[in-house]
Amino acid sequence: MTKKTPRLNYELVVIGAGPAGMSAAVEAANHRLDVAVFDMQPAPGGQIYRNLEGNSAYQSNLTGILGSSYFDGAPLISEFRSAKIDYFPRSTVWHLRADGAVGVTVNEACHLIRAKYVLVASGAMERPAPFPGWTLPGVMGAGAAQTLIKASHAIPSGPTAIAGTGPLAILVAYQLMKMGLDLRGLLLTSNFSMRPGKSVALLQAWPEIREVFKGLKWLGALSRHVPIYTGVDNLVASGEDRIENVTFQSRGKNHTLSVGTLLVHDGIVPLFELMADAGCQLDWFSGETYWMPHTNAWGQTTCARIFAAGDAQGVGGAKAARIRGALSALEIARLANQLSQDRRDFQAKRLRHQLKKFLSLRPLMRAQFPEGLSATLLPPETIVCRCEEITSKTILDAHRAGATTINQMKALTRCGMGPCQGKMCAPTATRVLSSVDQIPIEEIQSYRARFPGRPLSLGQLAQMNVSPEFLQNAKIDQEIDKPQLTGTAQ
Amino acid sequence: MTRSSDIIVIGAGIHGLSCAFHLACEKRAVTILEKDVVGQHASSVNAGGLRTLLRDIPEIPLSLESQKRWENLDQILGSKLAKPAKVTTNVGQIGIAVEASEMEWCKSRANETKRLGYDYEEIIDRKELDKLIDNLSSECLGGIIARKDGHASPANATQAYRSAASAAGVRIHERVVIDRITRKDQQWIVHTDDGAFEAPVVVNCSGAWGHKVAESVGDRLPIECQALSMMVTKRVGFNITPVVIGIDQPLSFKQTDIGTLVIGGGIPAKPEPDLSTSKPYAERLIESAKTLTRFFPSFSDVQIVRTWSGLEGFTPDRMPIIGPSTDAENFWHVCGFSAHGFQLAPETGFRVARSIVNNQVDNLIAPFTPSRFQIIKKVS
Ligand SMILES: Cc1cc2nc3c(=O)[nH]c(=O)nc-3n(C[C@H](O)[C@H](O)[C@H](O)COP(=O)(O)OP(=O)(O)OC[C@H]3O[C@@H](n4cnc5c(N)ncnc54)[C@H](O)[C@@H]3O)c2cc1C
Repeated sequence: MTKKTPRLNYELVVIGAGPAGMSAAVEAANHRLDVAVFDMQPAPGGQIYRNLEGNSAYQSNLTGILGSSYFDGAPLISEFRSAKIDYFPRSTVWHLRADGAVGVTVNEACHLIRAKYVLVASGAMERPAPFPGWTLPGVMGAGAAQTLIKASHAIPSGPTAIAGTGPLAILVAYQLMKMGLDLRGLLLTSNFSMRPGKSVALLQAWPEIREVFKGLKWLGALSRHVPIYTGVDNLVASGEDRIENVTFQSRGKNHTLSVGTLLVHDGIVPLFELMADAGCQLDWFSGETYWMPHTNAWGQTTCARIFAAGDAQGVGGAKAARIRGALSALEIARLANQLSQDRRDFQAKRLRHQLKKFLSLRPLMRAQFPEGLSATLLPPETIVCRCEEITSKTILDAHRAGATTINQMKALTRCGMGPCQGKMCAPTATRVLSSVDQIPIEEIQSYRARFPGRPLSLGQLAQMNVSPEFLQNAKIDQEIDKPQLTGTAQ
Repeated sequence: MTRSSDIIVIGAGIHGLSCAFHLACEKRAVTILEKDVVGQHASSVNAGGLRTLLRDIPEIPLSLESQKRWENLDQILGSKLAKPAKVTTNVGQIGIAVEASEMEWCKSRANETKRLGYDYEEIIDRKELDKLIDNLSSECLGGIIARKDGHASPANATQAYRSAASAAGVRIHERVVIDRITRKDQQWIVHTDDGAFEAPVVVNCSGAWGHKVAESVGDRLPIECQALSMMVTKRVGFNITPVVIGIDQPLSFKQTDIGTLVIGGGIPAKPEPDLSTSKPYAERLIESAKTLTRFFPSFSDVQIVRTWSGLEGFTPDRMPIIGPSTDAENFWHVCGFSAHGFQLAPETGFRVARSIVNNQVDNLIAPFTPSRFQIIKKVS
């Protein structure tokens, strides 16, 4: 392992080496920018192309299981590897500031460095979807299960069910079935009815219709071996020390399955904490029920130095992420005087054309896979915040005592105060609070995000490496031109 | 439509709520106007320290009385409301000396308070320190202790005062923006984006914005808005009951009942009062982490999970401004608590209410009159 340490200044810091981060870094390096990329994984690829290099070297039946769209990431990864980029695998960014300050841990040591521009390409996480029993051992995210397949070829053992919605739930079910797992059921909350709105969405998705066929192929193959339940509701996991049974309703009928593992998935939501920490404006996107950063067509946030691309900017999938990363890099290259406006626009034109095609699938996704597990009301005793073991009832009690914002509720209940910094409970806590008096989400607000975004030790902080410039500089927000915020990229 | 009451309190921090509660207990109709939400600022985010130790001499009587109120909070607010506030007293706050000069200073301080007739501060040596706290580094020499001191949960204590005030009939209006304040026929009229409110008496409890509110009636208070940082760690297995503060070192720290370490100590954060927020600076907290690991080397591996900061009003002499305006009639200021006002809130609210009802400034709060800054006013 390299013992490289980051320099104290960069022109561009990219957070995340998934498709958005890699393509942005490559594009920026091509325009002679001085780029550093920080990523938590041991190798480039992000969630979608996780361990792709490793899995390509390892010829096995995994190749067929992970599918061609996984291996599509190979050329980008090799471009990234050969570009002139300061790449730090296994590093964790825990702080971001509007002035371009970036707090990062590399090889256990903390650094506070400064970037002229920052691109947040930290992706998305699975939407937490609590239901009674969701904290029992044996219940895990379908995305987390896929991570295990890609990273260590491990699969759950014993009878398993998959519950939730979205293409990832179906894909993981398909992959696990092909790997020979004992799948007892695919429990989909969607009911796949074809209402008029959905047909419009289907037409809009025409440019990407091959993707739709792929999904139908997976479902078709699954239906021959695994019972598929649709319109699933009232999901409950139960068991003594770990999950033993899952009960649910499907189209009005009750079912119970004995399982050792339950994988759940309810779509994904942007990871925006670092941008919230920096003070970037967040918008509530009701279409997908999540917070996302307010960005312009180049991914620039309301903090002029900070850009967002890929799923961190708003969920759009791997292909769109790659384009959005490149678009941000073009604008950053222009701001850094490495590219004229005309050249930027010329190069962006082709990219925008592709982006439109890739994003055409989103309306259909939204219509066909609305959030399911997290759409129903929570029973009062259900745990919302795992770190502090706070139930839905506790949140409602705080609301009754006068807490209307999520931060007031947090102060009174400790909900969101644990090591995950509220990432795991924010969507649910928001939902619980807004369910009572229909308080608008904007009034509930999002959790205040403050560093460290990931835990760091007192000793690490005490020995943090900081540029002298920081310590002298009392005025930390060096102003640069305010961005023009017209139209979002979605 | 103008809504009238006997008293308008501006600001729903713990001071505004405490004043309003005690005024309501005196059968006064009270309205609180809060620009954000109850307890959003200093009152809910502070370190929760209940410290009489090392108070400025004029503050000692008020602080000692306030400590008794904290101890009896269940009798004042009712046990149901007081319980979540987790008032923990008699665990002690200790100022620890790591330099010989700090130890000397502690001794002279203890002598001074003794000479003034107070016996609540006591010098302790290293042996006594070891009885009270484990894991201390060999650098710690001894210190000064106030054995009755302790801590409480700031958000829940503030909430307790809110519930008590509401139950006593106080009307609380949140998210109300004050436009201007005018005077007509012995009445103050507070014009807001939610209409006008009027009352013969106004109490300015607006914390870090104290000088702004004062300005709207022509008073110039020398308050500076600053922000202070805090951090908290994961739950740890140590067992530390007293609150520990540094003498010349920037440190104030304690372990909560659930095991987390809450670390403060006057580390400045970035104030953004116009946005109603503030942010800790990572580079300034290095100092704080260094000090803590100097006192407790074994804390080095403990993980920090969160940091936060809060806005507070500071005065030039670091003592609060409590009392009626010298120029604006029946307009009271209760602000500028300079980072140690949480502990003072129960007694201050009681004394201010009593002073307003009796139309006579109570002795215990007299030293904090706004008029002590006359000279500064003329110079600036
Ligand atoms: C990080 C930190 C740690 C601290 N630690 C301790 C400690 O350990 N022990 C201790 O005793 N003290 C401590 N303090 C100090 C203590 O928190 C404060 O002195 C105390 O809470 C002040 O209460 P307040 O009601 O005056 O202010 P606040 O709680 O700030 O309330 C003032 C309210 O007025 C409102 N307001 C302002 N302007 C207007 C307007 N124009 N219209 C309407 N409303 C307005 C504000 O929105 C705010 O809600 C600490 C402070 C901080 C910041």
